[in-house]
Amino acid sequence: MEWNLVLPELIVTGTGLGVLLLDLFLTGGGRRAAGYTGLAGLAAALVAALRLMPAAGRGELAGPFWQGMVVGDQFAVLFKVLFLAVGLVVLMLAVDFVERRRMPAGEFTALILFAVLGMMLMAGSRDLIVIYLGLETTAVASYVLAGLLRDDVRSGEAAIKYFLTGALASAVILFGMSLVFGGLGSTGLPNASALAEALAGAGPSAAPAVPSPLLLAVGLVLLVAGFGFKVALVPFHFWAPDAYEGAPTPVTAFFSVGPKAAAFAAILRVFAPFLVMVPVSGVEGKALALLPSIFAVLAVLTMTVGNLVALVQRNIKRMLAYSSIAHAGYILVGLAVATPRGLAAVTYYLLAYAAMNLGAFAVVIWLNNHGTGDEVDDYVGLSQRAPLAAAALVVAFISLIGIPPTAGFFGKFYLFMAAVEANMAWLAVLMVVNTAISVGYYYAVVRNMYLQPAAEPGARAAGPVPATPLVGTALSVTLVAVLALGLLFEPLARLAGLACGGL
Amino acid sequence: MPADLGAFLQGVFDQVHLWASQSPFWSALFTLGWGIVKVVLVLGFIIVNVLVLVWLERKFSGRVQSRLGPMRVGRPHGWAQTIADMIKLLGKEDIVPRAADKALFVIAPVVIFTATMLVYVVVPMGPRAIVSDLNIGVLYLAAAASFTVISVLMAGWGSSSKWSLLGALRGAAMLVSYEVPMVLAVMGVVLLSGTLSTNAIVKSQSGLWYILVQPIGFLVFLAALFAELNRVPFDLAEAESELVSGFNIEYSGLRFAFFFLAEYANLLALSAIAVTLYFGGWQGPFLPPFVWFMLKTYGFIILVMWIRWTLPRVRVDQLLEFGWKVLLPAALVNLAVTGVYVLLT
Amino acid sequence: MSILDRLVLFLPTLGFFVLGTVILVSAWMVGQVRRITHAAFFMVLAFTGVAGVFVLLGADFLAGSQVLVYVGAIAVMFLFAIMVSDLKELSGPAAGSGPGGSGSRAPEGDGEAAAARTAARAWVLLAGLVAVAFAGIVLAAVAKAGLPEVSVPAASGEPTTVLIGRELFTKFLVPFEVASVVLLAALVGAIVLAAREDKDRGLGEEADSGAGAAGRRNGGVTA
Repeated sequence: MEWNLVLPELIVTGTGLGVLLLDLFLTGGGRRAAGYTGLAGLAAALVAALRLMPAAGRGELAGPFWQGMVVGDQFAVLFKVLFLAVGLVVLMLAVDFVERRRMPAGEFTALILFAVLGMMLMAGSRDLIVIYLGLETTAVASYVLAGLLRDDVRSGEAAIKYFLTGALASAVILFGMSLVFGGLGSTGLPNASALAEALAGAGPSAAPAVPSPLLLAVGLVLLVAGFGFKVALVPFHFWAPDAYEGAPTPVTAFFSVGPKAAAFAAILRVFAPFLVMVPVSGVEGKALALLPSIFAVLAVLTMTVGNLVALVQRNIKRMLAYSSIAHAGYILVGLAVATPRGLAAVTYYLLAYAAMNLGAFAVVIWLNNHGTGDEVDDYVGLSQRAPLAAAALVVAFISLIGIPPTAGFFGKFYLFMAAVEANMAWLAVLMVVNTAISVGYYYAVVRNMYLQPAAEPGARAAGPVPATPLVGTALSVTLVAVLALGLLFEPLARLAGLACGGL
Repeated sequence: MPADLGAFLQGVFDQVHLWASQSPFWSALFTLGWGIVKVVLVLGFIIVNVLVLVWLERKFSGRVQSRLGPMRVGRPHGWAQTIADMIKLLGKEDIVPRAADKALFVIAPVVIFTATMLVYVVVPMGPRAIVSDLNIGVLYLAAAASFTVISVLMAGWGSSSKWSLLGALRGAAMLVSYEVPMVLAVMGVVLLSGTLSTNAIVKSQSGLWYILVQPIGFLVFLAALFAELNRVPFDLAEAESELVSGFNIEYSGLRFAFFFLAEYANLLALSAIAVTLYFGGWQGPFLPPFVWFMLKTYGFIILVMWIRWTLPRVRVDQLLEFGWKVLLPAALVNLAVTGVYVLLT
Repeated sequence: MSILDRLVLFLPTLGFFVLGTVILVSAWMVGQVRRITHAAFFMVLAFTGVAGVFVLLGADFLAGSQVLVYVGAIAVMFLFAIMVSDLKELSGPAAGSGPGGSGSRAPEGDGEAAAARTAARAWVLLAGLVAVAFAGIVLAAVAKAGLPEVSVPAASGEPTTVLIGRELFTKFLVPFEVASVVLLAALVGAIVLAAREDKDRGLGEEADSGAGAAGRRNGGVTA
């Protein structure tokens, strides 16, 4: 049983090492084989993870393994499936891109695999050390992935900026973790019920279970800042647009969903127990009770700034970067309401967001492979040149805005309901206002595609743009997922609730 | 008579120690005093041996090249040559180049000499003749060697001379490349003996020297040792024909003496370590442990000199390639095989 | 107990404060000295001081590893990178350090420069205040926490090496293995970013125009 739980991780690691070895013997066009091997490995791992899903659905998975370093609960399995699917789609999108831009295929594939491994570890552990190592695995792979377009100065700039802010974030997280370790007396995090017991028994006087709630609170605030860097929350977001714009587009697609979702999974793991626990008396309890307010402030800042700045972007990758910041703000609403339903809404929104954002990026990559630039103006008249791509992008944008019947709508609706239930209607209203703002920049692209006539023919790369099988498959998968996640809202929300129940 | 003297000294030592341990202050003072005695003993040991070693090297190289070597100063065989050279060196003008980075230039010789001294702390010269039998002995050795690299870089950079800088960079690249296989090779010995303490490693070789069970590890260690010692065939940091004298070219007088002293002290120390790890250290029949230790160490030093005066120098790229592509895999295989062997027995 | 005895018992504490001062001062100097090599050497001193603190705590294995890894490997790599870099490029515009300082050299915009300097000073002041306030909170929290006193080598009297080895390969096996993946990813990444293009995966026509030119453009160093 234990080994089955970590089988996805083992397969991904093995494939990563295998790809590195295999790459030594590949030349020229054969380098695509590295990408295919990576795809096969991720698919196998996905199957291994999906086999755990029925048990997860019944709520039968539990228990920490290997001295508490690995947790095999529903939450972990759900996120592992998400991460593997994200890795699979990104790699499908990347194979052609990597070949066309002459990026090192073997290293690219291996680094994506290692990044996915790190993400799975972040969701699959309740120990600060493993969470940090998972974070660092993902981060190190990401820094390099951002800079893999070596003939492009902006790629190097993206890598450097991502690296410097990422290193700073890691330092802040480590400092925070050391204080949390001091506060808890252990690197293993309690789950909500254990923590509630410990704190309730503790009170202001004899407190053996949680030696120092105040230290804990200071550490957690540092963790908010550190993870805030990783998911680009607003005071800590400045690196994201440059990194997203300069990185190779498939890597940008990966950044905007993979490491971000993983960091949110880690945030849920670390903070959920402290958010939903019973209130504690005393100064320490008050310090801990501030956490939801911090998240609320960050949520408002993040969505507002993200959406407003997105309005003036002329580069579609930058625009999507700010859009991604705004979505992180929506997700934070679920943490700010600090109820089990809010946490479940966060989980569901992460699934939906991954599908729709990857869909949008799939179109950008598809067009980019055929010479279309990344500026919003390059999309003028696209509906005539590439009607399928334009339509697909519209579907993705509809979901990103949050119009039914897409997953984006249900995600926002779920968050909205959670906020209203928790008597935080003002937050819900701000969310709606922000959604209205976001229509502006999504619509600008749609207008360019459909309502602006194509400029003089021949000035832009004209002609039909056929999708390669891999990009086509990836795009179809994401669009189907956008719709399917919406239609399967009931069971998925139940699963998300079940997963977050064990936090 | 020597045995009686030893027992007498031991008795006196025990009495003083017992008396001192009555109060923290006197105990601390005793530790301090005994420490100073040890440092003086080690310093004396180093200086005497370095004088002998320099003379030995000159005589040995002379014989290899069908010369006589120094013959005039001191008879027979110019035994006082090094002493005379030392006096000359100390009397020379101390020059700090105007362009030099003064602070680094001045500190570098002190750091390299201190780093060398630190190595002697864990050299076991007899069952009890060890400055301090640290239980992280081998790790300590590797750590102490780190400061040598730092001081080479300090000297090379601080001199503000292109030859010194080139020498220092070569030296640092080489030391960093060769430290990895060296430590991995030594780990084979550590696995077999189950301890990091140097004295315990010697004791565990009472039956069989580790060179017999770790021949590959020893060869890797030997190759890395030449890099660590900056000796031909790996003397790229000071290659006379290319860099004049390498990282220490701008030094003169007393400061140069420090580098010179450190170089030979390092030769002695690393040879002693090699003997400790692979040749049973002070163990041996009939003769006293210290005599065995000195015999083996000098035997090893002669081997090192023999190689130095026989082989040509390699190129930088060959050196690094050899380190990463031959020594490192060899050391890893050796470690893996040793690990499996230890696991099975 | 005489006063001398008390003095001796106070020595480890004194040692800690001396080492702490050395660490803090050299860490401060890393950011203050003008020559970047000196900064690197001050960093060596700070690392060594940390190793000294480990010794005081009885964590001898940790102290050895600290020196071996941080002084022997990391600092040497820093120094190496600094020494093979073009120093003129590194030092940059002389007054460019500090926030907003780079624009303050223009002779015509005196008012602007003064404003920039004031703004920079205000930011430094703000950052300082935040830092002091935060340090105060953390110190208060640590002081209030009453953390238990734990000596590093456990009472069993085993060498720390044995204890660390046992923990590393039982309790911390998973993190240990994951750490190796982190290092591998970093290694692969460093090589792929730094390595010169070979012909096969080169930059198209550029790769044919001569490896030497490409090497210089990439800032390649042959030493």
